[in-house]
Amino acid sequence: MNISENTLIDKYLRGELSQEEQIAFDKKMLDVEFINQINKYKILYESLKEQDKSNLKSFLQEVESEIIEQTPKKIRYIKIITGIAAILLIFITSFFIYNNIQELETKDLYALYYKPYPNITDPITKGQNSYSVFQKYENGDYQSVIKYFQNKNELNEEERFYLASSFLGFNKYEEAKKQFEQIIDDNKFGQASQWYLALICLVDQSQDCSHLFEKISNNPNHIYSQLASSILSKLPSNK
Amino acid sequence: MNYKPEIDLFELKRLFRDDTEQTMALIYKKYRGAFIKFAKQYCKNDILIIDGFQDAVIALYQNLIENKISSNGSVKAYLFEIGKHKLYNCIRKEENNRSVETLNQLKQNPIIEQQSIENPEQKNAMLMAIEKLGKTCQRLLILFYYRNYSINAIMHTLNMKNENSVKANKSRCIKQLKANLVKSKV
Repeated sequence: MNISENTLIDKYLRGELSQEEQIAFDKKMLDVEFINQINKYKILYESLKEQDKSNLKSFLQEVESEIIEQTPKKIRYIKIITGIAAILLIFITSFFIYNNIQELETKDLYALYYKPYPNITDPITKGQNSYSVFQKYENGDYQSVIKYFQNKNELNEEERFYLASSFLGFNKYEEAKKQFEQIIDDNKFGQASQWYLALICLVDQSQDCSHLFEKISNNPNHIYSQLASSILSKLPSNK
Repeated sequence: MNYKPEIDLFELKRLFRDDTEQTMALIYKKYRGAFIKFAKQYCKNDILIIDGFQDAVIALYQNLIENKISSNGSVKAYLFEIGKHKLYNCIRKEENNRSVETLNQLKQNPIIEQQSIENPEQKNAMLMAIEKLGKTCQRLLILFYYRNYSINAIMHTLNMKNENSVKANKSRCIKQLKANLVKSKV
């Protein structure tokens, strides 16, 4: 076979035959040897196709390996981040759930057990037109009571107790606490002050208040002993 | 190479002509994840899914360069259709869970290439002769005869001096191939 025959076959295989070349090609197809050559080239084409496929398969396997090599790092990184996030989420959620339950329970206990101390100093009588500071306390006018006692230079234990009770009635827990702490040993108002200090403790979530109620509960002569025992059984730390 | 978010089959054919390997890698990476997700409904074996996907990408490329695709359309849809049928072996393994109808549908798909069984001995001899060629000869013959690259395109792809150098090398490779074939008969 000469060069021109090779070129003819190449052009035929590539679909590039001109009209003239097609005529020449058709004439050559009468020659058995030429047909054999064509068939060999067809086998070459099929084999090259298979070789190309095999090369491309190896190439794609390499691409896949690169993806796999990169993926574990990404996944590991994502897993670590997800793990940390999950732990934090569980921790934060548990923290809030725990605190919310405790807050609800202790605040509920406070609301349940808090009663304003009665005005025993100067109770209101029928037909009164004006009220003393203690009577204003009895009426729940805590702001006026606080203002009144804060303007006084010196307070006796009784006045300090009602000032503290007014702060408490007005939800000023810290101010109430400061006043109650000053009269905790007073004969008349000491026990009540202890009781209210223990109740104030329930509002402050950071403390364990059991010891305050235990101290009251353990004293059979304490006027709030039974209430303290009752509250102790309901405190979250004693459940 | 810049790609639009979705390319069509005709555009892909042009891209394959420009740079087969790079285009193939990009198509592979672009659709791999979506295909795995899609294939999971037919096959649970990850290795067979990846193998099927690789075969599907190659079949897509072959169908394009052999001009077997006459109408334009979505690359993804065509690729996934081939891929689904490439999973036939995996689906057969799980055939207890599949209907015979599904398997028959997969067997009879027209877009899947049919393996030529003509002249298996001659083809094996040819494959061995190609195997014995150097890498450059293999590539040159594949580019010229199978991928239908022009002489000029082969010159650029294989970094050859000029077109005459390509022609001379091609002749030399064919001679080498014939010699290998003769040797294999001895």
